[in-house]
Amino acid sequence: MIRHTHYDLIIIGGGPAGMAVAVGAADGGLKKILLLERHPRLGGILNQCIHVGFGLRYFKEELTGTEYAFRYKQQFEHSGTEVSTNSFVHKLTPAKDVTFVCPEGEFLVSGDHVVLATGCRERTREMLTTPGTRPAGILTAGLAQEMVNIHGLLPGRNVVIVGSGDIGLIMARRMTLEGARVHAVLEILDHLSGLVRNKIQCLDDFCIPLFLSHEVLEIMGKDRVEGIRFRDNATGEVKDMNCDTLLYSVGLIPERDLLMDAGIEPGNGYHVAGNADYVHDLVDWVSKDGEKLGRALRSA
Amino acid sequence: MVRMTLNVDILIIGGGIVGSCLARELAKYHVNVTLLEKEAELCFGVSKANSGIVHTGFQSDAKALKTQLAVRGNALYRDLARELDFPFLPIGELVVAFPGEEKGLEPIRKNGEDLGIPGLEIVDRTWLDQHEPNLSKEIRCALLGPTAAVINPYETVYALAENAVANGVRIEHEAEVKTIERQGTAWKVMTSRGLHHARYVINAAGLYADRIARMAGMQVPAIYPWKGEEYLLDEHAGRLTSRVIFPLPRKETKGVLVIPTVDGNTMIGPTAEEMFNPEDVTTSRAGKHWVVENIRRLIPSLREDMIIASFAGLRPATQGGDFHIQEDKPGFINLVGIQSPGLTAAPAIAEYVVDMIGNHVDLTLKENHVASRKAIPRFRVLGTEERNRLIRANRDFGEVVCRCELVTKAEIREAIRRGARTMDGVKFRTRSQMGRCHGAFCTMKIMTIMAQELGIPYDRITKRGKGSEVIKT
Repeated sequence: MIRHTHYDLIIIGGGPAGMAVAVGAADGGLKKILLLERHPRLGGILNQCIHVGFGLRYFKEELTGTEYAFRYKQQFEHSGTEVSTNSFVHKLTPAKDVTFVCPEGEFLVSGDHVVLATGCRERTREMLTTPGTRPAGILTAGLAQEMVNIHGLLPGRNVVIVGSGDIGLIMARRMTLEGARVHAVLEILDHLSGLVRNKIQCLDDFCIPLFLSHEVLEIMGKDRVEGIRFRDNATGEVKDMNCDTLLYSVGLIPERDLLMDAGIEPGNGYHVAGNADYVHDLVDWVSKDGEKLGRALRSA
Repeated sequence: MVRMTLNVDILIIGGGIVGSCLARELAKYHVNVTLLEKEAELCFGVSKANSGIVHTGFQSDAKALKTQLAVRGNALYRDLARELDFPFLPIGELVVAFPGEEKGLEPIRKNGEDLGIPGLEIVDRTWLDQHEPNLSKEIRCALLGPTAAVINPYETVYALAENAVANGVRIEHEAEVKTIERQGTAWKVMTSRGLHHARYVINAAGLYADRIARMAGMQVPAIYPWKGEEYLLDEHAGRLTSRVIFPLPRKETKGVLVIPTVDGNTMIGPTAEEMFNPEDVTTSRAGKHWVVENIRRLIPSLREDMIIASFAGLRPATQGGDFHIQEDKPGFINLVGIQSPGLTAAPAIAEYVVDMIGNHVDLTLKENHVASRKAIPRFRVLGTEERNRLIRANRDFGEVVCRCELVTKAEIREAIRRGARTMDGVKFRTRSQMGRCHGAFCTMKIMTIMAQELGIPYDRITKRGKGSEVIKT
C-alpha cells in the first residue's frame, strides 16, 4: 500500500531507466518519490539478460545484465524511493493523476512530475504482416529469451532468426548453447541492425550465417512451423528452408501507449526516460541519461 | 483409444456457431445430447474467422431459405445476448453508393421491406457527413439498416456451449468422426475417441459437412471453400466508422467491409478466393493490398500501418448458394453450405432443426432448464468501484497479466475453469494476447497459469491442440 496520495515524482517502470531517474531525482533534492513496477521485482528486462556486455561504460567492468541490475539496485536503495511492485499503471490524465492496479486494489495517485520509464516492446510478425500460416513456433526473440533464461524452456530445435537486431543475435548464440540448431539470420536490409560485436561473438564464433538483403516471403506449416520461403533481394532468387521455430528480431518500439491513450504529449510535468524515449544501444547510457533527467527535476 | 459405447438421443457433429446453437436449443428438452468437435476446442473451425456481423438479411434473395433464417436469426440474437451475457452491439449497417450506383440501393430496400426488415431508410450526403465523417466524400447516398449488429463469434459460441453444458449436454473435444453406419433404428458413429449409438444425427460439420454426409451414404451439395482474409486495425486507430459499411454487393460476395468490432477496434476485409484445400488459411501480400485498396475507396484516411493483425478463414460454400438443411435419411439431418449469413441465421437454424426433429420425436420441455449464463467479468470495461469489489473478493483481479488488453489473472483462471485448454482458447475467451504485443509479454505468464490450473507440464501446452505445442520437444 502506498504511503501518500501526492508525490514530487512518480516513476512508471522499475527497470534501469526508472531506477536511474529516482537516483538522479533524489540527488537533485526531490523527497517524495514513488516508483511503480508491474513485476514482483525491479530490474526490468535486465533480469532476463544473463549474457555479458553490460556495464563497461557505467561501472567500468563487464557484467551480465542481471549483475548490472543487482549493482544498480544497491545504488537505487539509497535514494529513499518508495517502491510499489506488482503495480500496473493503466491510465494517466493531463493533471498527472496516475491510476494503477495491484493485488490490494485500484488506486489513484498524483505527482508534480510523472516519468514514463516503460521501456520498449518488440515488433512482431503480425506487425510486418508476413504472409502464410499461423502455426505455433513464431516468437519474438525477447519472449524466447524469457523462456530460456527465466523458465529453462527451449522453445524450438531448428531455428531461423528473422531480423538482425541485438536480441536476435544474442538469442542465436543462446539457442545454440542450449542445444538448438540455428540455421540462419535473415536481414531484409543490406546491413546489420545490431551491434558489430554481437555479430562477431554470437554469429561468427558459432558459424551461424547472416544473410543480408533477404526477405521472408511466407511462413509454412499447419500446426507447427515447418519452414519458410525467402528471397535474396540482391539476386531475386527464391528459396525454402526447413525449420520448426522462427524468432523475430525486427525492431523495438518505445512504449508510450499510456501517453498516447490519454492524448498527452511529454511536457507540463510529463517526462519520458530510457528506451521509452528512444531505444538505446547500451544500458549504461540509459542509466546516465535517466540520472541526468532525474537531477533536473524540481519540486513544484 | 476407444472408450465404451454411449447411447444418445441426438448427436451433433461440429462445434461451431451452428452446432453450439443447436446444443443450446436442444438442451431445453428432455433429450440426451452429445456434441462432437474434432478440434481441441469449440469454435476452432469456420466460426473462428467469421466477421461477427449479425446481418439484417436484406442483401440476400428473399426466396432463399438462408434469407428467411437470417431475418429470424437477427431477431433472436437480442434475447440470446441478454440471456447468455455475450457482447452484442446493434450498430446498424450502411450499403453505400458511389456516383452512378444510386439506383442500386432501391432494389435492396424493396427486398428488405418485403422481408419485413424494420427501419430501412436511404440516407443522403448530408446525413453521411453528420454520422460517418470518415467515409469518402465521393459516396452519394447509402441504405441504412439499423437492425444489423456485431458480435464476437467465439464469445458467443462459448456462451452457448456453457449454457448447453449447464443443462446437461455433453461435449467431446478432439473427437473426429471416422465412420458412420446405420444399425437398426440407430446411427452408429465411430469417432477417434469412442463409439456412439444415436437416434438422431445432426451434421453441422462446416467445411467437412459434405464428407460427413457421404460417410453416411448420402449425396449432398459439394463444398467449395471460399477463403477470406481479414485485417484488424490497432485500437489507436479507433473506430473509423460507427456502423458496418458495405459497398454495393457484387455477385460473388458482399464485398470488402469496414466492421467496427465489439472490442472497439476496426476490422477490414474479407477477400474472396475459391480454394481447393479446406485447410488453407494462409494470408497473402496480394490479399492485404486488395483489402487496403478497396477500403481506401470507402475510407481515404486508412493507412496500412494501422494494421496490427491478420487472419484468414474459409466459407463452406456450395454451388447452389442456399443452405441445405434436410433430413436426407431418417434420423440424419444434414446442414450443408452454411456460409454467410450463417452466423446470423444460426439461432434460427437451431429452431428450424428442432422443429424437424419434433415431428418424429416427442420433445418435452425441461422444468428445471436454466436459460441464463453469466460472462467472465471483463476487468477492462469496469469502473474503479466494481474493480475494487472484484479485487477484494479475489486478489487475482489485481494482477494484470495481459497489459495491452488489461486482462487479469482471475479472468485467465476463470477461462481455464470454463474449459479453455489451449493458448488460443484462453485468447478467445479473454482477449489476452490480442493486443499490440501479440503475446510477447504475457505468453509465459499465461502458460504458467495454465500449467498450474491444468496440472500439466509446459511442454504439453499447445497453441490450438495436438501438434501445436508452444515448446517443441
